Amino acid sequence: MQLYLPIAEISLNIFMLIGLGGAVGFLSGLFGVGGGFLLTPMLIFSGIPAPVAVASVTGQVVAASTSGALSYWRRGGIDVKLASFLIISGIFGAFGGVWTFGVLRAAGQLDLVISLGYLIFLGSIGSLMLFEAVGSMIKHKAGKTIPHKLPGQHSWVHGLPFRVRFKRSNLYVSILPVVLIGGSIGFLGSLLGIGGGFILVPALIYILRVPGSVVIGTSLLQVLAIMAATTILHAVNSQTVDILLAFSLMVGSVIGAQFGASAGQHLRGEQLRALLAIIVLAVAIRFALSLLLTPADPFSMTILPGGVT
Amino acid sequence: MMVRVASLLVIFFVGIVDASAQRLVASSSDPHISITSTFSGEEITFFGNIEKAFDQSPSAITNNYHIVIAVRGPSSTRVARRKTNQFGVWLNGEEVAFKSFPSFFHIISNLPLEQVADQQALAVNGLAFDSAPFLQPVGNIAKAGEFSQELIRLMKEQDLYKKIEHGVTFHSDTFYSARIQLPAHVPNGNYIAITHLFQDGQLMAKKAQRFSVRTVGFERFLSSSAKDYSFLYGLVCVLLAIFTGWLSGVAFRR
Repeated sequence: MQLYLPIAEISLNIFMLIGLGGAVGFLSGLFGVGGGFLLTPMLIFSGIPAPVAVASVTGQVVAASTSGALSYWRRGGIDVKLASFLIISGIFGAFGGVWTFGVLRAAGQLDLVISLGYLIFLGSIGSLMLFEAVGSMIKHKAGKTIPHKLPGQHSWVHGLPFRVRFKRSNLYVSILPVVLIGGSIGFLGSLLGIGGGFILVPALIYILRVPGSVVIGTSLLQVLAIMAATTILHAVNSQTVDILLAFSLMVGSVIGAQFGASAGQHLRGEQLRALLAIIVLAVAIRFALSLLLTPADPFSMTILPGGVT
Repeated sequence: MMVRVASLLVIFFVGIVDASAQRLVASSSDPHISITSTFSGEEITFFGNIEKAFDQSPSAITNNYHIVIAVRGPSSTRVARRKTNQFGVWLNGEEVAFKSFPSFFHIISNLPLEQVADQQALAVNGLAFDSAPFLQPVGNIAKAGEFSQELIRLMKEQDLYKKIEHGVTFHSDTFYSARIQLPAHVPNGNYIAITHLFQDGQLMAKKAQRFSVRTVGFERFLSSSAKDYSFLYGLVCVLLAIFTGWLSGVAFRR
């Protein structure tokens, strides 16, 4: 059944959209990530204009992170103070991201920056995750106990000024790295159409030493708030949010996520991380190819906004 | 088919304008094309009759007529871009913008255009994709020629530009009809269909009809809200997302 998408101005099969949302939702449930970094590229590869894909996926990420954030909320797994610092700085970042998005779109370089951004972030995060996961798999085979670097150990980050106490996380850190992390995630998320959970979680763990009990919940709340703000910013600024597209993806992804979460219980942590790393790297390689290979058709066209008569 | 076309002819009878030797009566099947949620393109039929002028004897009507219909969609400023390899990376390097570029352009004729009239007569009447009124480059004029051809090629690949030779059928010496397929991604807006009557390479009569392509109902509501109430639209989208997420959390809670 074809569904006409009023903003994208194309018709796509509704079952394909729900299926795509479902597949990504399955993976996001499996790995505990938002899935925006997979969904946006898939939409772009299936012919949806990049600006519409990026802006509509932000709506889908809101839905995907809501149920997770709620369940962490009930269990008290959210540091509200830390989350609000991240959110406020993130919203400033999102303003910058959406503004940059508009400028790049007008200059015709949005696709390039999206490709480059995905290549750099997915490539580096994917490689790091793969090395880490393979390393711990080898150690697991060798029967050694894995020496964890304990959160709570201090690094140079903890020597910075403007320290604030975060009770729930048992932290007393400078707000500078907090604001910097929040702002960057907001900027990247709105520019690339990703929640940024897969960048935020490691950043919270390794840079701020946020304890594991609150890191996922806090990250989910931050992603939820930033993506909600970004959806509205995109709707106002570029008018590229396709609500029907976003809704089809949401429906698929929230269902897929449930199956993913149950499937995830049968796999070990490092196996999951290795799998996720391979998927992340595959997407990065796909973007690398589109940048490096001679394009089949070097020409493209677009309508300048405001020029319709 | 003939009966249907004939009955539509009665319904949409639009009159006669041209004062030249021949007169043309033309109409179309649908003055309003509605894009609904299940829109997957639509066929539109043009038909008409060539009538003799008042001062003509019936024998003056010959079967030497040619009909060319140009269907054009709303114009906008369109940019053609070329990827160039810079520092090993392919990125959009050069661009030429064209203002008043039709977003849709089909030319339907009963014979290949070169058999209907010469290049100049066609160009003067706007029956070529690269006629001057449709290609007004802004800025990088030097590359305009090359980029315009590429732009027309891209439009053809999306079926937005198309030449359909033998697309007009004569059912008698004077009665013709033509069908064109509007693709699913047809742009919204006001369309104009200009029917040209050629005889021996000369334009004898011309008749314009307008029709509109509009999203209707829920889709129209959505696309207009996205433009006119963009903040509210974004807010509704977020609330919808939060509700969907919350609902799934409740429904699947273990």
